[in-house]
Amino acid sequence: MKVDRRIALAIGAALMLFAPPAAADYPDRPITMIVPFGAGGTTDVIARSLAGALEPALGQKIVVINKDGAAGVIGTTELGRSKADGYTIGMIPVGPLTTQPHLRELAYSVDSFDYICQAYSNPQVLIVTTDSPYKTLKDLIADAKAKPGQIRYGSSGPGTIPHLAMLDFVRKAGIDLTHVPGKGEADAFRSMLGGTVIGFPVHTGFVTANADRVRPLAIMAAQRRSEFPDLPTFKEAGLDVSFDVWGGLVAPKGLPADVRSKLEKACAAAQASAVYREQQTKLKMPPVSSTGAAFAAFVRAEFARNGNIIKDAGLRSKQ
Amino acid sequence: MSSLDLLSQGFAIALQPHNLFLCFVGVFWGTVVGVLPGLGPLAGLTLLLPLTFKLDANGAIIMLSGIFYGAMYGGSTTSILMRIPGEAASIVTCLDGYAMARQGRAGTALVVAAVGSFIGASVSIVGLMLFAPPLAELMVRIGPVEELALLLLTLMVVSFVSQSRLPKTAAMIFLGFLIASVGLDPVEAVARYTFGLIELTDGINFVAIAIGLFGISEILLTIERIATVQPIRPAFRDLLPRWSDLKASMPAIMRGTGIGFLFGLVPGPSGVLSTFTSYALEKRISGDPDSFGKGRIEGVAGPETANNATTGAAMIPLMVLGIPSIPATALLLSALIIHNVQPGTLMIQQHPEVFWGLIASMYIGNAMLLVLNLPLVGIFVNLLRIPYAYLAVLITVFCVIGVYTLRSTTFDIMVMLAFGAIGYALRKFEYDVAPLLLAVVLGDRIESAFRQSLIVTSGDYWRLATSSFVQAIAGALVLILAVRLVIRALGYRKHDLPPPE
Repeated sequence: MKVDRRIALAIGAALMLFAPPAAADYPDRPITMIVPFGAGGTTDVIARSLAGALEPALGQKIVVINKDGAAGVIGTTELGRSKADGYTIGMIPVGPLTTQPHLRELAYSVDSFDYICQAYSNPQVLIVTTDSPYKTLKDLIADAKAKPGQIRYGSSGPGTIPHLAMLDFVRKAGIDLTHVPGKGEADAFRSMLGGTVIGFPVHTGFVTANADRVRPLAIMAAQRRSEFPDLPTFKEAGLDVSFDVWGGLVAPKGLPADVRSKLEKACAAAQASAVYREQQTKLKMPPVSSTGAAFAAFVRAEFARNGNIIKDAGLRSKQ
Repeated sequence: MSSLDLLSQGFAIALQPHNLFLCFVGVFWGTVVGVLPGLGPLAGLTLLLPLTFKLDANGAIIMLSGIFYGAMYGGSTTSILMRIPGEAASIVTCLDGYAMARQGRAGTALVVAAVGSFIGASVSIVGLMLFAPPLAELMVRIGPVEELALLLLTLMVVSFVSQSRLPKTAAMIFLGFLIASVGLDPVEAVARYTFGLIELTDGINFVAIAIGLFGISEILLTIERIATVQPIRPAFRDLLPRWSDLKASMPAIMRGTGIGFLFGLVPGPSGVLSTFTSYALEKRISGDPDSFGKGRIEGVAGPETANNATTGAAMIPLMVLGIPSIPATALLLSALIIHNVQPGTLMIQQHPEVFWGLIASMYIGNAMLLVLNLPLVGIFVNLLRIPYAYLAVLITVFCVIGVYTLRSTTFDIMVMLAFGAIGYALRKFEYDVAPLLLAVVLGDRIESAFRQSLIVTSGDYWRLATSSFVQAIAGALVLILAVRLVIRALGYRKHDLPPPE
């Protein structure tokens, strides 16, 4: 045991001798990017696409690691525990950043991270089936007022963004709907096609891929989108309901200032690159560009808003 | 354009040399992960998914689905030879497959498993090709209430498979339900039995439980009597199945095909459930249930066919609606997204080449698998000549690797080892662990279906009980129970089967 400790100390001391004095030559070795969801999911596809565009901008390899589990909390916790040296960054989406800390006791909060840049943001669209009696949001609200509590909607799970979006809509419209949580988007879709629920919020790509079976009612965004010019917003119906599924590049709090600015610049350069633009268009992701302080302010606003919805709905787990 | 034209176009895609090569890589790797205990189709897919990033959508999906159905072929090998399931869908094959191996009929069991697999898979591809859209419609019509009824029926049927007495089986089922309740509850997301560990919020990993209960505990039990384990030295003539064996297994293969295909349509761990159901059915209708577990060829033929027949059916909801019904098809969905093929209701229309190329490749891949697996039987059987001390170490290593690959976390390895110890203790006390695993699998789905059903009926149990579909299923349940009781009363089952060693 003692010998082991001495060897360990010696190795530690030797490593310290070789450690870079400051971040001036950052990055001088490969960077790890944590993705808190499985390989092949939306977050992962975008993370890999951005990692590919970041490599030339930073002049280093980026190794993408998937740490799936507990709705993204496992990977995000690990990122929060990592050293703030710029060699471990993460592609963290809205859920683990702004809803999970309100839902349960976690080892991290919104203040545990430095926010580098937003990578994607996709507004939610409330869909129903093509044979649904609801042609507009107004139809749905009117019917819900006539039959309080009898209309059921779905979601990809309790406490997810689609669920919070519906809670916000229900409260602002002054109606009463019943929630039937699914296990993921596919499960909610099955429930809708089978008639268990009337509809649920999805991302815009889902609407395009299932155009023959779904009717979009309204989009939860500030303005109409160019890819759906005929799709009205919730705002047009007098409801300020705006929800995006988004994610961004995040690092443990306390990055050295020069590392931070290098990462922010690299991200902006990567997002401006032709290759990345083309990949985003193929993935049907509208371009976003919000870095540093602007992105941090956005995350905090979302964190506060989602926290209030979760508190009002009494969703916090009593562990 | 007719389906035949589309299919021939599909063959034109699948027969391109590089796609043919990818198909071979897929089915070969699938066989490997299927044979290796610990590594299942999910781990196989996860490991090779990054390799497909550079391929086109056709090649990627051809290779990855090859892993999925290839694994179903390989799974039976170690079940038969060592009583350690190569993957979860081959657990039930251990019962009669291993007994056959002890009698020197390992070759027969392996050949019948391969032939059954081929027939089951081929029929299910035809089903996928011809009836995909209407079957997908039928599938989405199964609401939570109907799903609950179906799941309860399944639970009742598969409890027949247990080799221990009823009170012990019931105890295992309750323990399984308890294990399934660990994690967030499906409606309110309240954490249950997580002790503040975030690793437990998704519940306990099913694969880790399965490998622990069946793989690790089997190694522990075998090592205990290692001095008495005689290596089996099969003679060459034992490799060839007797005509009577083939004839006896044909009806079981046909029934297994039907059961597997139907189960593949229902979301959930269809591979595991269909094999147990097929085994239960064979045991029931054989007229001599006591001979099961002692080397009945039907006990291998039925389940091994069923798990392959699920693969084609499991593709139906994925291809037609973009809804993956099991984890393996969810990974295939990821592969499609990576290649800019958005899975959904429009996929077959917008990307016919992907769908028909896949179907054609599945025909080719299954033929490859049969050709690959039959000669391998001789090699696999000779694995038995390796002293168990070496095999045990190798198998343990693969179990650890397999469990780690799924989520890259050492926590799951601990879970596997813990369940290895639990499985060892339970089996020492003559509890059959198969119902425990089934209850874990079913418990999760039964709970969500039950909770969703209650929301739909506004908490009204009476409305739940009076749905016509539920009544039909309930009738079937009562009938099964009654038949069981009558059989018991008439004394046909004076002695329960001896529990597994």
